[in-house]
Amino acid sequence: MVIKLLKGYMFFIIGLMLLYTLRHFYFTVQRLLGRQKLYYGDIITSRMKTISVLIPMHNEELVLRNALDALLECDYDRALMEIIPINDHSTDRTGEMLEEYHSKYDFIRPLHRHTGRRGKPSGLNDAMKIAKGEIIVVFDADYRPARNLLKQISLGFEDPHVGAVMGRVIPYNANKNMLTRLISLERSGGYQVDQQARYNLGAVPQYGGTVGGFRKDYLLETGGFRENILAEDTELTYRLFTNGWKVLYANSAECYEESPETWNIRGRQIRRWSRGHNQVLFHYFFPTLFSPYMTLIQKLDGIFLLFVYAVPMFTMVGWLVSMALFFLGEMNIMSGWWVILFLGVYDSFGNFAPFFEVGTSLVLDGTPKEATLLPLLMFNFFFYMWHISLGFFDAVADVVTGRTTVWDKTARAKRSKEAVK
Amino acid sequence: MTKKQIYYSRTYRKLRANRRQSLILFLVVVIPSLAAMILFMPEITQLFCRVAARVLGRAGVITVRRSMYNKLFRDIYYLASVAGLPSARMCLCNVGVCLAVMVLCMALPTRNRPVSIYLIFNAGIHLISSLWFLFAGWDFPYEAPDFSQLYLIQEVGIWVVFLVMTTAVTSILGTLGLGYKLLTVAAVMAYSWVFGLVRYIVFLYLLRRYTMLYMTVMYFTFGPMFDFLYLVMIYGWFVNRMVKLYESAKGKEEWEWS
Repeated sequence: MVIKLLKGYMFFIIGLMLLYTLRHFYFTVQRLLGRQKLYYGDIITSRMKTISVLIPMHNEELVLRNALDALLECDYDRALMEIIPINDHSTDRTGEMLEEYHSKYDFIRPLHRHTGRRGKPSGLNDAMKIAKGEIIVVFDADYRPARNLLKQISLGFEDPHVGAVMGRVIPYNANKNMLTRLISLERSGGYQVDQQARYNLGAVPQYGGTVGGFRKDYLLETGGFRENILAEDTELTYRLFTNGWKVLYANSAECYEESPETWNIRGRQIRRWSRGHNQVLFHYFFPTLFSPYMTLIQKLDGIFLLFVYAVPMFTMVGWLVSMALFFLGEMNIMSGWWVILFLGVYDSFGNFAPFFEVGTSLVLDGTPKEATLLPLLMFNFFFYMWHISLGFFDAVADVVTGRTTVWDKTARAKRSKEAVK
Repeated sequence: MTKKQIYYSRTYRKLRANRRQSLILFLVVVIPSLAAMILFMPEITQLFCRVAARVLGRAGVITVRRSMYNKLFRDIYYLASVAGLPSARMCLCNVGVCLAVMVLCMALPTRNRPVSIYLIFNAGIHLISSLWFLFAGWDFPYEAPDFSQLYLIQEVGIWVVFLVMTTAVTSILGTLGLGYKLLTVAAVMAYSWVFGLVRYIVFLYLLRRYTMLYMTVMYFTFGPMFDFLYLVMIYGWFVNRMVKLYESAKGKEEWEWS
């Protein structure tokens, strides 16, 4: 009986890996050869929407100038915009530096938070209460928007059915070290192919919490961000879709981020993403399944997307199960066809794209040099499996104990503005 | 990657679609290759065994066995090598080494690096194996021929999956670069055969020389995951060539914006 159960689990995990591989392959073919759904960049309007740019900051003295200076260079009408940097319990010079900007520019209005709960969802909720714009645009403090980014994001909201817009993230420190190079590859596959294909297919493009915007009124009417959920972006994506709103992906709206430069920071970041994403899985599995507003393809893709941070945990259990079967004398399970399990090595880990999706994105972007780094993605297998699984168990503990979550901020690398220009 | 490397016009570009040509290429490569594998699998594995036996035979007697695999591939041949049980001292040494590796990897500041996590996982696998042989070696459910047979069955799985997968991911990349596509499939298959054979010889040699203690780690650590490494390596070279091809004057004509 036990052996049958263990074998059954192995069939399940191999089937799951195969499904995710086919899903990614379909996305790849669609993006490479299919009809592309353009973003709303051609819309001309006589009155752009008012926007509030929110930038959560906790001890961001090293990077905040880059983000604010890049925003100041944006071509959005300043009469229609305000920038609210959220100084969230900072203990460094963040608050002081923000006040310097405020003294020079009226429309930069810092929000200093020294009481209440720390964390991005809480900070955004407080900032939305004082924001004047119809549309909230969010950036992390290490991001540098391209000049026309705000215009592009804002245009999408001319469609009254659009609840959120997401742009493309590109690491600017890709050449720093091996880790940043690998992250750059993953980002490339994840946005240029995966997000665009999902947008093309009318599936579930994801609002990513930064380099994107959403309607302020809708968020406030539905109670703001849930402060205990660490992936407030994914939660918003599912809240919108399950209530009949659209999320757009703007591949041309590029923004440049600072990727984590050490494995410790990356591990913590991945674990937090996994924890938050799995919290959303537990909340939105049934609403997604039974939403009257979502199409079949949206439900299907939505369910696949909900499970992306649970699959590595399933794989780790599969690894243990295969070891148990080995010592029970059952290693001939599926007569060696368990090689298919390893298709999953490059697939379905979090939001990370498999090798052929990354390869295709490099062809689309026209960047040949990075292709030779593709095999190194393999070494992320155990790294992601471990950290994502830890995040999964964190999320389970959150649900079981009802404990309060604490936001674990991604640490920044120190470098001068001139050095990265 | 800096902004200069990604131009605005590339945002929505796609390759001129010729799905029929891609499908034909896929079928033309996969069907005959698969048919050849199905028809000649007994002979292929027999050849494998002959070469391996010739290399290994110098160090002892090796016999070739035949067994029914399944209805599709019929029989496969495998080498019936011998391997003994490890001594308690050897097991203890291995337990010590595994523990040392695990503790060291966990104690160093680099413990969060992929290579450390990889070493911890695999040292853990070998630790379990070493403890098994220390306390219940007599109950280990396999002999060397079982492992040898499974290895070749697994190789058959790798060859089929890699053939289909490599052809699929290369054939979709537009209408240009047919030579690169065929070369990539051929290189992956050739490498998997040569690498598979060399690894088979090494595994059987190690089993015979250093006992069955290392069977578990061979199976889990140096198994199919390593095969994916060279597949992606060759695919990476292929992508590099294709990017350059589609950025050339001829290749630029293949792009469309829809």
